[in-house]
Amino acid sequence: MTTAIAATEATRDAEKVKPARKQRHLGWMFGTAWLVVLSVCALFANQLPFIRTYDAKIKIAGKAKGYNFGPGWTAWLGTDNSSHDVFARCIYGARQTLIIGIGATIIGLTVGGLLGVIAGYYRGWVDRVVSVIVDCLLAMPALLLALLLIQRTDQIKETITALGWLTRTEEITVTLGVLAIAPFARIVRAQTLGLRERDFVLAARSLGAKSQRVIWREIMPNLVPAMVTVAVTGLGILIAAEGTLAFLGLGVPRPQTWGTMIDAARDDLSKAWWATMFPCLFLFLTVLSFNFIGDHLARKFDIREAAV
Amino acid sequence: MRYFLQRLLQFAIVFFLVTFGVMVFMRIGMNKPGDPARTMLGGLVPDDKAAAVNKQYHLNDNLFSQYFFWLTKMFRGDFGISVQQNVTVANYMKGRVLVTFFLGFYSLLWALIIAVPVAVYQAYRRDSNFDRAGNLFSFLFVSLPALVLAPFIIQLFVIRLGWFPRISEKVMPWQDLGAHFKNFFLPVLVLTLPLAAIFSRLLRADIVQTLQSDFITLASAKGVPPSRVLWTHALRNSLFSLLSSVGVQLGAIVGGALVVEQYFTMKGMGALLLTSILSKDLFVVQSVTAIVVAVVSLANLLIDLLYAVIDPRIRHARALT
Amino acid sequence: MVRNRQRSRNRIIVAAVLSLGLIAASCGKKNDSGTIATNATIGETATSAATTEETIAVDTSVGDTTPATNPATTTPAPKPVPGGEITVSGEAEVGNAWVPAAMQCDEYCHERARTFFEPIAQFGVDNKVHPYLAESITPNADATQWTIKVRPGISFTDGTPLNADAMIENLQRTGTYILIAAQVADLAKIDDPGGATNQDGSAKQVLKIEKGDDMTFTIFTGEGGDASKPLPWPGFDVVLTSQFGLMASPTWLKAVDTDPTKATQPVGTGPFIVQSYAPHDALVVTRNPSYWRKDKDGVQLPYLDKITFKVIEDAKTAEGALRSGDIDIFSESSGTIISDFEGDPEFPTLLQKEFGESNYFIIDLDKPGPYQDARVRCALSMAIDRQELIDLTQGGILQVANGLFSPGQEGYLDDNGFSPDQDIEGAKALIADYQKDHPGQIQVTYGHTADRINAQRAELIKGYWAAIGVDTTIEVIPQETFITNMLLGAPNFFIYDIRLHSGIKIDQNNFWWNSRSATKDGEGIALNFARIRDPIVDSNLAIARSDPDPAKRQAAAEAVNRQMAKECYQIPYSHTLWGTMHKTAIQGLGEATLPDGTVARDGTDFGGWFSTSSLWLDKG
Repeated sequence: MTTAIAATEATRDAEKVKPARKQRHLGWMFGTAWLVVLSVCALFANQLPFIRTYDAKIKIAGKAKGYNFGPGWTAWLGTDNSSHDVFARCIYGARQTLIIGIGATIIGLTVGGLLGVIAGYYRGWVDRVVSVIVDCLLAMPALLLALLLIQRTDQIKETITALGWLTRTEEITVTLGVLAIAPFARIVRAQTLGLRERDFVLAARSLGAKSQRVIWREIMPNLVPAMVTVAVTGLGILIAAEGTLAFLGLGVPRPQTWGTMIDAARDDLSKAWWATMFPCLFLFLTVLSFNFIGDHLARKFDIREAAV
Repeated sequence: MRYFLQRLLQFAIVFFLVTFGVMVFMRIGMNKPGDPARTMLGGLVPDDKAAAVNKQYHLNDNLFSQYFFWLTKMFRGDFGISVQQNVTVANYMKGRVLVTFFLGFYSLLWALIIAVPVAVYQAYRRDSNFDRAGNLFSFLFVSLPALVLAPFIIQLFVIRLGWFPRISEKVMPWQDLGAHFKNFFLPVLVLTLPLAAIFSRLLRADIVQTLQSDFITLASAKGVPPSRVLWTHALRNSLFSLLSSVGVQLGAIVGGALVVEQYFTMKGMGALLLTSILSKDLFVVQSVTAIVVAVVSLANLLIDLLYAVIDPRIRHARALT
Repeated sequence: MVRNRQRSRNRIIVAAVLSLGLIAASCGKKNDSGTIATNATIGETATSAATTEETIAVDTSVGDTTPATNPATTTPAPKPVPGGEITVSGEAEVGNAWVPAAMQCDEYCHERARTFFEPIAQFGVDNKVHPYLAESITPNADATQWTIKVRPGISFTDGTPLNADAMIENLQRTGTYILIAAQVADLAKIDDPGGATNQDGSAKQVLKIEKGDDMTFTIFTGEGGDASKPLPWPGFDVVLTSQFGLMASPTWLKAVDTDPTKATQPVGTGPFIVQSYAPHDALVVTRNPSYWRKDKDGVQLPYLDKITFKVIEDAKTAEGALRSGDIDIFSESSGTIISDFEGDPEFPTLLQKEFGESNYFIIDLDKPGPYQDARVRCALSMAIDRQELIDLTQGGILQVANGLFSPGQEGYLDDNGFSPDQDIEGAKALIADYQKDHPGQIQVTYGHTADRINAQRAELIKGYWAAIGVDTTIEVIPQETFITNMLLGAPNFFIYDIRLHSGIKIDQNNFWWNSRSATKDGEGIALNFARIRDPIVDSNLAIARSDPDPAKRQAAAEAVNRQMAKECYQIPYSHTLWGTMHKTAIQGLGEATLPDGTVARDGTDFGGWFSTSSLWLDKG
């Protein structure tokens, strides 16, 4: 996960000399356009006339059959194994997928960002403690950590009934959020280390400003570009990770995410390619868009040191 | 030397914390505090048997002595027993370790074989059509999780073309080399593609930057041929970031292996981890996690040390942060 | 402390239940989805957006698929040729393999276990119990005592002779172990004559079995275990065909007591010997050269030299593996998979259409509100389009169910008083009637495990019930707590999607519906998950267990069926169908014989398993 972020940022290239701007612009403009259209559709899915409801079934002569329509005028992207409209489901899936992805990113960014800032600013033993936490989180392969977290939460919920309200969706969001903590903390810490020695921070400190104030007023605002960049790239990775969890049987059942949709239909590729292909396409284009935008932002804000 | 000790200490702290954390975590929410034996046995035991297992593995002791008990045994090479399956963890892993090893080894190897030349050439011919195509492809593969990639690969190579078996047997190279590659090809392919994309992007960016630094300009000015500048100077300089990236990716490879083993029904360590986590087979989870963490962290440690030996500057640079 | 103890006991039973035949419809990562994509030409009549259901008229109606046994498997085969090896796959690994008392045995477990263990008795295709390792099984006049004579001349593959002592040792171990104990609750128990005690110092309870001579012994029945109350149990011999009747070498059992890892090297009397076993991976068995049986032509059994059993969790992957030649044969209950192989000449299918489990939604009758009212329950049941459910989630080939008795089972009725056809108007009327007494929106909660087919089914159910004005909350229940929730009557167990009740005789399902095992919600464990407390059901279950007249037992079974249908205690939707798909080279499937010459019935106790001793390879 870290390296994926690192890789994106690494493409910053330090190449102000001879940029091939056209292609890059195409990339991030496409990404933004796709995300805007998708978000609008997802937000207003209930209102937009061309999107069927989540549970709408398209029947033939009053009978629902699995995959009864291929892509076409009736159902743009065909129907799934319960005769639901794949297009509509992809849109509702976008809503669910984005909620999970954004939720997880917020968790990761808040906790990881906070840890990173504190470690980077105070250094010393605080830094060491945070580093150990981060190292521990990173020592476990991410997927392994996710599996453990979800499985254990399920069982803990059984024992501690007070946690019964926690839904599978929230469990997955939190789990993905935890996965994001360590990489975010690392990057933010590195950024903070750099900022800490900058003139304006030193000036504020020498004027006797309290640490808290320095962090909130001076450091935080300057961290925003890096955080946004990392968040955008991370979002793409988290969405892909959610799909992987769905494959391992730990997906979100309802409303379906793209991951759950792909997993439900992937074995019927030869019968109904559309039911797998289109959610794959949505997932792919979205992850790609986040990568494009992340790449663009990384170049723009010149955040490379964050990677290593 | 000091750096070496420092890194070793760091490794030890992380290893103990993680393994202890996993143990504690696996104990939370057990149906009865201090009675993981019953859970581990699948719930299906008379009281006397549960009590016996609890006693035998000190499962009713406090967490620290439980951990100590497990750890000392572990260091003596006794990884415990899967009480659910009535086999020792060592036997359980036997025949599985190599599957995951080969998956990881081949995919790393292939990813590097693909990524290095491509990245070098991309950097050399920056903004050429080749570079652009390379960028686009690496972008595509970074954005394709196995969930998306694997079904299409299976559909094409197994169901349409019938070139490869649907389930990959764990044939070892010394048993039948041809069958070995036939069985490992697709899983490795699914693992390799995104990995190669990550490596090539990283390497390309790094080389591009190196090419602009002074010593390269100097070398070029001195009349060193471009290919030599590229392959020896620039690449060697970028090797560290590539190596440390390999280190970081080791963890991802373990995760990737877990997914790929599921897709191709390969019975490797990933499949074992998944099964044991879902069925709460305590000792298997603990021991296998410990091994995975140790291998991944030690490999990273080794990479760091290796590089520190080669390039003393790293020692200081790293010691600072 | 007392509470903890109670709770841990509960956990014990969970696993026990698995062995007794419960497979939540959720178990495993099944792949059951709709199959048939039509090429029908479509004339659109209505495509208004954002409506809940759209209907598009077609010119050509969609033909129904009808299941049929492939003729290839029924044609008389040429003479078996010994030799060769095959690879079999199945979906799940056995918990606690392979000690008969402890193993949590499902279909694939029986498949494998019965290659090296053999039962005391087995069902023939005549649906009667035939002695297998026993030479004879004889009840006394009122069927309260059963005398078993051991078949002479058989020994376990480790050389231990099979005699009365060996059988008693096995029966004692299995019959008193928590797992099978519930099934033989009506066998008399006495204090251990050897003086063994439990942890708390009380005398250990053992089955009352009296040894006659070296090769005979007698088992005594007793109501609820009470030796002073002998209970007529004419159908007791059925139990001997199940896991309870599987015989393992006593020498090996003792070795396992001291070293649990020996459990992976089981020793029985069967046609094959375990060569190696790697859990969740592969079991390899090889031919038992000194097996005690020959076929009718005097050829030594078994024919095959070696069988490799693999575990492939995903049925669709197994399908691909069979097609690409990685495996030779597998059994599956997923309608989708079975329908994929329909009429495929390359891979014939042997179907087990009878005695299988029923798929249904179980309702906790202890839950307050609408669940307790037969009107609501019946309305929920009537609102379901069973055929559509089968079409979309079970490949379209399963049979619609009107109750929990599958075809062939004692008590099965084509018409049990409940019409399985969808009747929205009738359901609405019942709901309206209920709402007169209990005004307000009806709200139910439906739980299923996180499996893709179950999720698909849940959505469909929500739709059906919405059509009659019932609002459904769908909850995902973690796999490992699913059964516990039902046993304990957990607060979140309202309506669950499960699969249960295979078998030939109703007596095999006694404890699922008997009010004796219907402990109240939260007060302990209940094998009667639905908490059915119905005097009519109870009295007829008692008749079905103890009446000497088979006709009366049959009538009692039918009465249970009718009563449960009338009260809509459960919402049945389909009967499980098992298919065994294999390469054409595999011969002799379903042709295994019992020692007395009758053809054996495969798949009893658990649907799907098939005998391996009669299999052979046609190399031509």
